[in-house]
Amino acid sequence: MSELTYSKVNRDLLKTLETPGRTYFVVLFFLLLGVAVGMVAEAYQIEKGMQVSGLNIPVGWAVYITNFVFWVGIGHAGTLISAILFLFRATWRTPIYRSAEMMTVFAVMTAGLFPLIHLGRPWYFYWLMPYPNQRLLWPNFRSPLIWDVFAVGTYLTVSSMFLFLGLIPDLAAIRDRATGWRRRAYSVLSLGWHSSDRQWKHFNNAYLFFAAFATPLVISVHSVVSWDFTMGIVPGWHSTIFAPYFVAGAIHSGLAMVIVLLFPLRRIFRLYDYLKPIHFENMAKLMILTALIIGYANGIEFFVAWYSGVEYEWSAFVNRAFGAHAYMFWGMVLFNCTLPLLFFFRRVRRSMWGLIIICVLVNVGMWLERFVIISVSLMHDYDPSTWVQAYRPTWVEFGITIGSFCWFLSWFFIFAKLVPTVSITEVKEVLPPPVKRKVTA
Amino acid sequence: MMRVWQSGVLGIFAHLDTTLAAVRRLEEKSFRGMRVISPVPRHEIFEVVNPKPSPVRFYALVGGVAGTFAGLVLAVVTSLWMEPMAFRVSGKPVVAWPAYLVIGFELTVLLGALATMLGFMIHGWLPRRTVRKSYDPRFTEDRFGVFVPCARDRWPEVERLLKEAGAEEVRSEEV
Repeated sequence: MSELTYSKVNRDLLKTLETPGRTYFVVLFFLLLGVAVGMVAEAYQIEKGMQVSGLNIPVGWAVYITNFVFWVGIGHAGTLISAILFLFRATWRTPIYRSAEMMTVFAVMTAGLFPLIHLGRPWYFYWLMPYPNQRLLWPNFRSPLIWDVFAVGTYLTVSSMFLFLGLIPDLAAIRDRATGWRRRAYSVLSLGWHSSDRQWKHFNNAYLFFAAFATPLVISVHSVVSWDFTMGIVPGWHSTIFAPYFVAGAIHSGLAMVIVLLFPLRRIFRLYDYLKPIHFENMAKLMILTALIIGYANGIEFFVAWYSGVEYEWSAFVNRAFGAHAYMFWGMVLFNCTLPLLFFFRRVRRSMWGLIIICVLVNVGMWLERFVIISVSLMHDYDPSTWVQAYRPTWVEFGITIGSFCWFLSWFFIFAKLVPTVSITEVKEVLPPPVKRKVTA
Repeated sequence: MMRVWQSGVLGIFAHLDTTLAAVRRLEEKSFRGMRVISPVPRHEIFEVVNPKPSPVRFYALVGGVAGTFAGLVLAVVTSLWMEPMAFRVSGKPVVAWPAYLVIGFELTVLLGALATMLGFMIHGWLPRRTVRKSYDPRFTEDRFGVFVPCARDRWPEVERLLKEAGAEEVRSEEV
């Protein structure tokens, strides 16, 4: 492994932005094809109405809302790495924070689509905006759905600005090496950054405050998302443990997604000097913590359902574990809470395939968890006569879900060639500066 | 926003310690208002040329406080406005503080972050269409720069001092 210097960091990381090969475009083509599938499915749903989805009464929230909660959750690890670990001065975050923050922005962009898709008439989305309608009525600020608009809107805005702020010096570095139209484009994007002490001072200060704002924000966002359910009286939803349970689950799935995304990046861009086994190992250790929190939350939910003596609640939980969708419940327990405990073994934490397989399964498990909480609870509410109304997702819901994954990956794929996926500035910041006399340094 | 660049002399250095030594030397000779350009932020540089804390923190504070008020006022005033029409339900309070704290909190973060970005842009002189004429692309790679704003008649002296301090290259800039 070669010694890193300021110059080598620039060279290595700017090299990742060179014109890609044919494989890149082939993969991008298939991703965009997946996006097209989702768009066709959505267009069909707009044309025919929500009847083409599997939604019914009482299962009015299903795959779309599951996807919304899943994707918002995926974004959380990015903010954990970029903001919370920054405040804790964990220097190991520097090479992974940019990819994680990009993941946050693209995941929240993906999540934001689902409430609109779920509306059925997405062109009325502006009804959620805080302004008075023709009868001078304002939105109901008591409603958790309005809280969601504020929370997710703020999260997307703040995460995008945080990502852009950190990118400015790197965009200037690209500008300074580029020629032709790329130079002009990056000149505009870097806002005329010229690396003076004055700019760096304000940059550092702004970065610190963004991290300070983003830290409580990330905790609030998934708490607010969980309150979409807890504010309802549906058995299986009405639980005070949901906020920390959802936040831990979000970070769990987000870390898994970061690991899944970083392995190919490391290999394709040959970033072996930057993304080292220790980075993956540290993320795996964090996942042990989040897996234990989720496992505890799952257990305590069952205990409270039993201990409360509320028969509806207990019935919903018995249905969750032994009903028609029990395989989903046990799948989520296995994938989210049990398999990540293998990370206690160093051999598994250090094995590329061990990490990838477990992290992919954690993401599957986390999707199942969202579905079990949202839809399986609705399938078994207070009225036994509705329990036979089985919910089956249709091809439209599958198509839109596939489209959402391709949409997320397409953004990541495109941006990986437009901006460095490892922060040039932050990597250099943790290197010793070039000095003539070592004693002075 | 488009403040005009000043005339002066720029020295390009390969090392952080020689850069700092040059700044100290020029300060001894009563040169003021120097700017140090560096590939990364370094606290040693701030201590020498820019020791005052950044005012961006006040933007964060003002934005955050304004956001809290904006969120709470939005929720409370609209509830009171709509009370005769809609929101007197089951004897519940018209103004539901616990629910409105969520709106207040989210707007605290949103306006706080927007104000922080604004403060950074204003004090960092951004956005600008151009960089300084004497700017060197190596500043975003591994070189340090010291820009000394001064009148034309002092250029030879500054150039000599920068070279003596170890500058690899010296450029003068007339605006």
